[in-house]
Amino acid sequence: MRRSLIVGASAGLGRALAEQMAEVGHTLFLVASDGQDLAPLAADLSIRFNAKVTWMATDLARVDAAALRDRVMAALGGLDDLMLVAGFSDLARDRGPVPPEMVERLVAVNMTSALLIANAFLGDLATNPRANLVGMGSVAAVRGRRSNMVYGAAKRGLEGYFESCRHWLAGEGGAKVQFYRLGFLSTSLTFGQRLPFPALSAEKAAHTVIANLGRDLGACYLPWWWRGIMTLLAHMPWAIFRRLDI
Amino acid sequence: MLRPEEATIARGSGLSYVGASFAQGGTSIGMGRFDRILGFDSAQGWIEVEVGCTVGKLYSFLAPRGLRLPVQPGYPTITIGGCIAGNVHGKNHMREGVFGRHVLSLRLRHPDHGILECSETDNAEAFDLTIGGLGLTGIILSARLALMPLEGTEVSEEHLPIASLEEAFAEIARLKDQADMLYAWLDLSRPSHDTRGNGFITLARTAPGVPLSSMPTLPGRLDPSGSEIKRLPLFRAQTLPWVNRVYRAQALRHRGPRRIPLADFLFPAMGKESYFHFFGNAGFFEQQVLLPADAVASYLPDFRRILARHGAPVALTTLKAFDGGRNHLLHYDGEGFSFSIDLPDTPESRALAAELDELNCSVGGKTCVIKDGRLSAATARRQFPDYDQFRARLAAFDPRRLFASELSRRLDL
Repeated sequence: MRRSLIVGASAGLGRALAEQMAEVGHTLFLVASDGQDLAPLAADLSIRFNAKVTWMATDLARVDAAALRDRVMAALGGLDDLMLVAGFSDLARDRGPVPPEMVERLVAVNMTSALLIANAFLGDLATNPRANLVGMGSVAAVRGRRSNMVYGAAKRGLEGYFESCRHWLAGEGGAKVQFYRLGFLSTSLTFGQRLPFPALSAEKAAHTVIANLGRDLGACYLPWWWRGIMTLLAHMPWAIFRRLDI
Repeated sequence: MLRPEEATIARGSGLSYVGASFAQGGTSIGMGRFDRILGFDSAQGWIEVEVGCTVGKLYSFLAPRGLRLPVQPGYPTITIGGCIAGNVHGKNHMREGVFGRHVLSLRLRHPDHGILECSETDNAEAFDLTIGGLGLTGIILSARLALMPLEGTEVSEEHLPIASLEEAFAEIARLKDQADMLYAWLDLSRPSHDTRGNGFITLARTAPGVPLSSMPTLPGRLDPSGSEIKRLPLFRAQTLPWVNRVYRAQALRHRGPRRIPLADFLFPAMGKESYFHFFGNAGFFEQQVLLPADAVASYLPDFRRILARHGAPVALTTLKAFDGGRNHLLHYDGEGFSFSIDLPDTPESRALAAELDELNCSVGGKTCVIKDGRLSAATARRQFPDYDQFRARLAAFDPRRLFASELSRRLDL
């Protein structure tokens, strides 16, 4: 029975992962900011799938990763899948100068918390070749633009750390690393927005992520066809790129 | 969360035909993500769910455990919140009545009252007003529902040919005690030529099927939100008779009895979503009316006369039996026949429906407020003896009347 920790489990992709992992028999430890949301989810998963579910509510901007690891190890007795899914963006305001608290929060939730948690479990992941370290980046991080400035920077930092983790874990013979540059998903992050490309449902994205567990994937796009779009964008001459209002 | 200065209303899947889940200038609170199962006791036969939970999700959970909801509306993505607020019915009203009869308790949030635990014994007034209350008492958070044993996962279905509207009423009355689920489909698409209304009756009994260990969640593709596709109006006076002729012939090719999966029977609109698109961008409306049994003999000649005079094509006509219900508030509940017609939304169809409103009032019929998107406040008041009482009790429960929808505004509630 696989033991999986999902950070950012109460909504969107994290919740879809929780449901599908519970369905295929994983034992789960769920982390999110809102306990009022996690308690019903845990009840639902245990009633529908007979899953063993533990949860903890915490603000990721102030996460105590060592304490989290203690709780997870006490509840699960080990860890096979570390799923770092939490993230948030503020598309309307994250453009040009923003209040310093906002910079801190965007970096803390999207990057620092994931680094702290991954770092706390790195020793466990190094000794378990069946384990997976899974992170969620963004297409917003591929080439810096005038929107999602801080968010994009945080996700690019996260991607850099995952690259290092993959290299280090390969040397240790430990966990496999999968890092997803997510395109648009139909979650509360994109609710009500007009999108230039179709959004993938969280359920379909979760299905792909679970199917890829165990693979030494490194960084890839989800959905896959964003690779073409982002390759074009990344190689676009500056003279054109600077004029795009994206 | 709630902004008291403007109308607020809960929204499930947004599938009602009548603007029950939004209001111009108002705020709709989407409940779709609150769809979790909170508690379940198979021995005592109840389940507690958040109200965004769909009947399809519950069916998929309950069927392998040998249980079912007593009353099921006909599309899998309808939410439990919508079932409670609309106090909906299924194809077995003559057996199990309306949805609200099986609600044991519910949690209701209202900004002025906080969170209320409501049942027949606790906060009974809020409980009574919330069932069939069209979402006007607040946000229903969760509900505990009574369950029934599932006799089988298949149904034995028969199609019986029907030659006329009159025969359909007589046969539905005759068969209602022999069937677990029963409805008639009739063709009134050529009103000016032939108003006989031939069609067929679908009669079903549950049959012991293959026991299921698990079931996938039922698919539902109806999405009312924001699609801007151009829909071709294929349902026209010239085309509908042909569509209906083919549909009827198709059904009568399989008279049965034959076994079909229970889910296919319970959710007949599943997979037929394009029906709604074929009305074009102008859309359609449904007039569904509960007729007292003793009024039918005098109703039908007048109905035929009005239909023939207006010449508006009826796309879909269905008939069900209602039994053992009560007249209460604006509930679509009682005894008699539930008779419904779907029409393309045109001026001709509206003129026809307006004249039928008068006929319905004169025979003691009452219109289903969650189906008919053009019913006026004046007509509702004439058809529902409790109309003024419902309005007054809503105002007493919530003097600020924070919750409103297009439906409640049109009905002047």
